Amino acid sequence: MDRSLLEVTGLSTVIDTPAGALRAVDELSFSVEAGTTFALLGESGCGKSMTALSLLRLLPEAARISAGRVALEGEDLLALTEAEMREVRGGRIAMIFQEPSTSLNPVLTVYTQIAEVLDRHAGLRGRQARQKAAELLAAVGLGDAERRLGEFPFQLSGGMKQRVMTAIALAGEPRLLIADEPTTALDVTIQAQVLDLLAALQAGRGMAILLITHDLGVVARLAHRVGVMYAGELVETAPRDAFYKAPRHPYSRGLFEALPRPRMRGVPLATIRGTVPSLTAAFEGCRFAPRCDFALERCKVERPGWHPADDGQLVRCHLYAAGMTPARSRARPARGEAVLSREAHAPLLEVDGLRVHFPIRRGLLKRTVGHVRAVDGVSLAIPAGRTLALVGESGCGKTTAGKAILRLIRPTAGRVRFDDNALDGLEGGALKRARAGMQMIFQDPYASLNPRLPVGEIIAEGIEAAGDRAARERTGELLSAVGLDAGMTERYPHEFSGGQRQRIAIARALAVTPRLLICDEPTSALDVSVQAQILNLLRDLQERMRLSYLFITHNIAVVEYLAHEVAVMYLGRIVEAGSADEVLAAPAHPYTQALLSAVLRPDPAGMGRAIEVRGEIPSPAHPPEGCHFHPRCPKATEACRLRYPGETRLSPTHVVHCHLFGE
Amino acid sequence: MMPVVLWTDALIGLLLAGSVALAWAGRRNRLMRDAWRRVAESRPGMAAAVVLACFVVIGLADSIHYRPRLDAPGAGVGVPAAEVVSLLDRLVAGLRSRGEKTYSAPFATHLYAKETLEGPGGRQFRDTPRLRYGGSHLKRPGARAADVVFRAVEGVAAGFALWLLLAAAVVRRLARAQACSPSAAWWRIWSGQTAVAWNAVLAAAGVVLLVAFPVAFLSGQYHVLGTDKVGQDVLLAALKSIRTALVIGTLTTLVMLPFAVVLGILAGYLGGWIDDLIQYLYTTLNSIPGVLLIAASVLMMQVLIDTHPQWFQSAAERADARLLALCAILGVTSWTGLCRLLRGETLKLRELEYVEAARAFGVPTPRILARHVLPNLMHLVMIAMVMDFSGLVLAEAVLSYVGIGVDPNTYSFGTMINAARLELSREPVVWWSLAAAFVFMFALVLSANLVADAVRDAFDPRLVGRARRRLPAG
Repeated sequence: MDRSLLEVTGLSTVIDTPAGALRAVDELSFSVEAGTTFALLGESGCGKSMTALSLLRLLPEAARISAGRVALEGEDLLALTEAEMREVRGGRIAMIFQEPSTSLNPVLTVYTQIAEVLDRHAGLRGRQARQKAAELLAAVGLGDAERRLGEFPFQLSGGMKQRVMTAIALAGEPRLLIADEPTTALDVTIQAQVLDLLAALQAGRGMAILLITHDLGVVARLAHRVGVMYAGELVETAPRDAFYKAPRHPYSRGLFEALPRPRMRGVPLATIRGTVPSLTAAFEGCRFAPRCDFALERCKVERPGWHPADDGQLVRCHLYAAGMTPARSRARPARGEAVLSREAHAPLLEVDGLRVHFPIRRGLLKRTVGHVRAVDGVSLAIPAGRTLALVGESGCGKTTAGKAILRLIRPTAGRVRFDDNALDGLEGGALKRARAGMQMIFQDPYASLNPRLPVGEIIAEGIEAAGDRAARERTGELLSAVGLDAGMTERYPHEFSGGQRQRIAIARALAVTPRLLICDEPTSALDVSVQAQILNLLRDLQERMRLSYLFITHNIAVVEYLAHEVAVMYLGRIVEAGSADEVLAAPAHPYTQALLSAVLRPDPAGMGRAIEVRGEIPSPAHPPEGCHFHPRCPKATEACRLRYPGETRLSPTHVVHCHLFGE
Repeated sequence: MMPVVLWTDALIGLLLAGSVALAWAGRRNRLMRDAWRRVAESRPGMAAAVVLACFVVIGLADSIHYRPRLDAPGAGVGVPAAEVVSLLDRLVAGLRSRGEKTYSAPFATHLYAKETLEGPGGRQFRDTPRLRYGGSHLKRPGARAADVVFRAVEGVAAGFALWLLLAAAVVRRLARAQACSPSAAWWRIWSGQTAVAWNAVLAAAGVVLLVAFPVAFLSGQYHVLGTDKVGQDVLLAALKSIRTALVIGTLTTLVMLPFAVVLGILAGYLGGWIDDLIQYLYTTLNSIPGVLLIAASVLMMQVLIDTHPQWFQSAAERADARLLALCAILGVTSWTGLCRLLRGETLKLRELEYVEAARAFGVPTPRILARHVLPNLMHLVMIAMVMDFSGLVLAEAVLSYVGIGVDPNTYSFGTMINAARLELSREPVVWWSLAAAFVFMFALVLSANLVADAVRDAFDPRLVGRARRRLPAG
């Protein structure tokens, strides 16, 4: 084997904190070959990003590299001077960041930002630079490159910005590209495009990629080798296919088992108990031992070394030491089908023709010149004890629809009936009483709890607002209902982790004994293992309390696991709705098909080609004539351009809006 | 004696009582306690707090006013004097009574200007006469240097002794609290291992004592900072100016806060035409040059006071009314900045999910504002209050210099600086008035700024735990 392009040996990075030295990266060793992708996989706080910053020597002030060697093409990067390092950054190593909207400077044109790198690392100026910049934009798949060069970041959509970021990264002709969660902020269909682009660029240029991600699906799509990080150290490295066939380390296995999958429906997901240990502590044995189901006495006292497993995997676990027979898998709860009764109920929530239009005001007198049709005629119904998943990409209006149902946003038109009470037109106290059975759970557990109030008061707020003064005592009870210690009422939100905060938010919603919870992406800010805990909790609460959920999400895997019914939204309207089995197994609408095919499965073998969806979601201020989806639809016909398709009933429950199925 | 409560005295008392009550109420709130603990950890903050506390004590002593009784001949009980004096006046009575004829330099034994004197033989000559009080105990002026050094050393010794007492008290308390030997406690203090930055407190207290005591010992016989045009001790003027500065710095904020907080939150949270109205109000107010607006208001107020002499029983009351009016005028014209800041922050908070969750629960708007919005703005208010303090002290100086500040009879740094304008154009130049005002104001504003910095660092949620926050996500 040739010498690797990047060789990292014994890299340790320490951050000085008031609580002591925090070993963010601890004796990390791996290598990346030219033309291949090495994926660093791990949950938040495990040191992935610190590793990337250490390689580029871009560490924050309080952090320093305490030991190790980073060799790029045989040259030790840690021995270079700062001036020499500047040649390396952007030149031989380039980086793509997670959030495309904040990694571009909003006041400079695309060309200025590419030209900066071309000038610095390729010595190109003037016409040559402009030509090269246009070539780069073409290479990252942006059409009409000449015009794009003169545009500012705000004129580009999220996917385009990530392409521009990639073009900037490529401008220095890097040998190694570090991609830090390159698609996490993007929609499913765009995500697939960007990953394909990275794979194509790598094949064309023989570039090495260091991929940093928490998403097993992204790894399956792009990586050649995988390294799993836990608490600052690598615990397993393996070739991709071997890793997906049989992950070896108990932590890797835990990650896989925590993923929601369709065949897991009705069964609690496996979770990894406990939390990631604080990295300021000195570790004696295996760092994962306190959370490991297979931990031996030895694990607590002796740090495991690397042990080979079959298929070229290396595992840092005592279970694979010579003479041990590793347990294959932990005992699983027996598989059972959903026990919920399937008989038809009168719907608990009925929404008919809900519209939310935001006026666009221009000029001195703020005259209304148009409307953003965020929600444009949404109808749905949820029976008691069932879950309806409202699925769609960002900007399709699903969150607005949720808030309009709860009347947090005033709907422009439409009827909402909850529990046989019409909610429209109600004001003040009458509205408060009528919607008392509905509550909302928000996406960001860090923004949804008031940092200045103790948890007990946060939970009691809803009860008190409902007029129940003597309900303080119930807070402890509610905390234990969501799996927290009832004695925690005096603590403040910042003392809890993300998953615990989401539990508190759920407890707050449950405080008023609602019958319907509107869950707005409740797990998208959480790690996989924590997501599993929250999903288990929601499922358990549904069974115990016969709650109904309106589950707003873009995460198809969660939908497959949890939903009974699915409604797919595109540009303010529902394009397809039906039972989960019908919609997910046999999607009818081309958009649903594309959306489902673009979902990244944590399985390299089972990944079909995504159906190509051109472009991005159009602006809801100017939806296309005819079917909203026709400019992006591979099957569009003349009829699609002319008028919006009506409702076609494929089965008693399955409804689609598409001309392909109409008469 | 007969106590007199001036308007500003009452408000200062109210402010003091309010802060004590707030501190008492906030004792149970763990977030507040943590924030103040972080203030106590900050070395520069605690050192500055000691200096600021000295200024506050002087200011408070100067805020307790009364009329002393005069021993009228033939009457058993004294008759109240017309003049209103403060506790501070009584403490530094020596400084007040020992007036010279006119300018004299610090530590001088002779006047600054030459006068025509009459010699023993009726011969007239021009020379600087001996001062009435300054160095009058000296047999011959040549012994002055030795006398000054002797008294200064005495003062340092006394100051050091008091400091040792103070340090011993702190060490004893700490040793008892931590159950260790006094020497161990002493070592912990100096190596900075205590939760409260005691080493900074003791160091600052040491500096203050070692400066204050020699000055106090010397001021009995000398004019340490010289005398001004009418022969009054400059040290007295500087000490009396402290109260004016503190009143302007704190009462103005008190006037300004309700405007800024109420209007800012209403504009940000309610939006719509209320927001428009409040925005138009403060943009209009902002577009009028500040000094012009203040000058116009002050002049109108002055005319009002001058035409109604019957409202005031004494000169002190009139001067006090003018000071209070100045605070009100400064407050009414300076709330716009904080209001804009609070409106912007409220706009952000309004969109946060916990506010939305509260709305989903049907929590009434006033309750949302009080529980969810205001507490999350308090750090901004707190920071603005302490930051504005030093700005207002300086603003008073500028306004008094322009002649639209406090009453000319009121001691203030501004009037001292204003007087120094003429003194600096004399030959030989009179520099000590300006220097004294400068040194006092500098110490006051610097310590206030350092305390403000420490408070901001401790209360601003974005700065708290900065090291933790710097970690990247992965």
